[in-house]
Amino acid sequence: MSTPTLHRRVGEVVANRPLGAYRQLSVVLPTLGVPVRPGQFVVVPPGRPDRVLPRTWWVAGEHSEAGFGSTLELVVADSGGRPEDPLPEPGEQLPVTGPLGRGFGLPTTPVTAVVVTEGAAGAVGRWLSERLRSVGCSTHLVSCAQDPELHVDLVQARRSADGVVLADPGRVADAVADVAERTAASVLYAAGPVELSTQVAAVAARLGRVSQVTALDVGADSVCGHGLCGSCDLPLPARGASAVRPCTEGPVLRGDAVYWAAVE
Amino acid sequence: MRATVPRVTAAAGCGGSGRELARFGDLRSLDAFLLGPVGLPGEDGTVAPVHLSDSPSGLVHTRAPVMDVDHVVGDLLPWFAARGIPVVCAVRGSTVGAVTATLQRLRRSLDFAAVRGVEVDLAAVRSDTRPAIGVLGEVSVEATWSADPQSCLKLLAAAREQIPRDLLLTAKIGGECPDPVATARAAVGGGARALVLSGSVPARGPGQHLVGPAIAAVTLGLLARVREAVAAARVPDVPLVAVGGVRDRASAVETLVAGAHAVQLGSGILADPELLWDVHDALPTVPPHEPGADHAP
Repeated sequence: MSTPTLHRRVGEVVANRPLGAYRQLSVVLPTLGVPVRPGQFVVVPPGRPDRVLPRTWWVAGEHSEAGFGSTLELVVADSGGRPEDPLPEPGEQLPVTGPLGRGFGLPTTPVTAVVVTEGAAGAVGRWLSERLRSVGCSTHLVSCAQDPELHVDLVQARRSADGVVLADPGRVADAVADVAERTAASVLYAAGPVELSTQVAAVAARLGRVSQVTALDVGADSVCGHGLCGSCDLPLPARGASAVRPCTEGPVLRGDAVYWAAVE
Repeated sequence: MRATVPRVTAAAGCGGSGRELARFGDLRSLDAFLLGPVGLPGEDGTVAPVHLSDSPSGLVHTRAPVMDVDHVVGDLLPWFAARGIPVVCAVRGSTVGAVTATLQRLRRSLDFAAVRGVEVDLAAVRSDTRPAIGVLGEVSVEATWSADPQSCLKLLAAAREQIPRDLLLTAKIGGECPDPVATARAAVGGGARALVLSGSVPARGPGQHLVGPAIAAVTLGLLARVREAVAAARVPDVPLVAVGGVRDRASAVETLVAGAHAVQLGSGILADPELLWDVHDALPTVPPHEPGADHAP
């Protein structure tokens, strides 16, 4: 095969600290040869012996140091110390596959962008808006959560974006449309579950803006993350019954590439 | 002549289109790649993507939608042919006509040389209409193929006619089968040259099946029943392929020692795709089960 093969590598967990209602894990791996982007995820083995499917976690940051290795920051929903789904403690070994998938692309010219996030992907949105600002874009963050406690680290978010808007999951479309029109944003990014991406893609289509959305429920129980199970397939508009598999071809897709009307 | 059965492949619906699995290792180092389920799109009513949910030590899944045979012929088979990867096509259809139409289109493909075998899914739902006596309407039958040995024989015989004589034809029987011995005998009678025994059992809701380590014992039980029938000469002696519950090297070796000639990996490779190569490397330690071994003293 011409493509480099992916292998499961064993990393060492060096930190497991709280990040609001979530946990942030730092895992040191042998140096990754490729740059890591916001929007990518890793696959780690199940936490319990009676679970079959592996766990998928968002990558929320990466630092590489010559001679030391790469440190991946992974953000995970907090299990609250329940024994059902234990998280690794510092010093433990953790087999990691990845980072997998296609991350968010950055605009080539400085533009105004809106980043919409929900759940643990809030950390991805924060990393993305830092990246966007480093290429000269101005960014506005829309953080969407059922419970005020579930926003990821708002203090940090206010430092990495020009504006932060908190929204209720039911009214996120109005909030995004409002921010996009007020700031004349030309790109909408969405990091979070598929329902959020559906709404953001619809807003982008209505306002005539470009959108990049994550089309995979990373962190959910029902995805394998390797692109083999097919449970993440989304329909494409043009060619009849054809589908895109976000595990391998995403998770970040253009909002207009998916036929959202056929997504349940 | 006995066509060779690949000793380790992905289970139908678990290998994707091949490109996904090729990211984790070299497919050419395996005996074959199992592509499927292939069929006519929308023909069996399954269009929604697979839904997976957790169950203790297992996984409850809905049936994978079929891959469109035109997509397979147009896009996927050329990919395998160009790389020299042998393919076994798993074919699924709810009528004899759907299966034969699928096989015809595969056979007409320019890359049919890459196809080394065809697996017919007898655990699929059969939709059949029978004329009802005394009424003008028809009664439709909704059951799996494997529930009716006679229709299995017809299906396999029709499939056998569609493909070259030397091409491997296998029949897949699931844990839903009421009488595996009768269905196995009918399938081999119809022309199957190997049997795939799947421990996947119906679960929770309609169209859902339980797979994973939880069903390893069901697979071994099915294997033992068919082996016993082979020893009693109630089923012709054909290679048996076990699928269901193989989750690591040790369980693969255990299944082979229990009399399977080959294994397929389903939920095991969803958890870790590299298991496919790992199990492949472990196989030489167990000699393949030779036909006639049951009759030896």
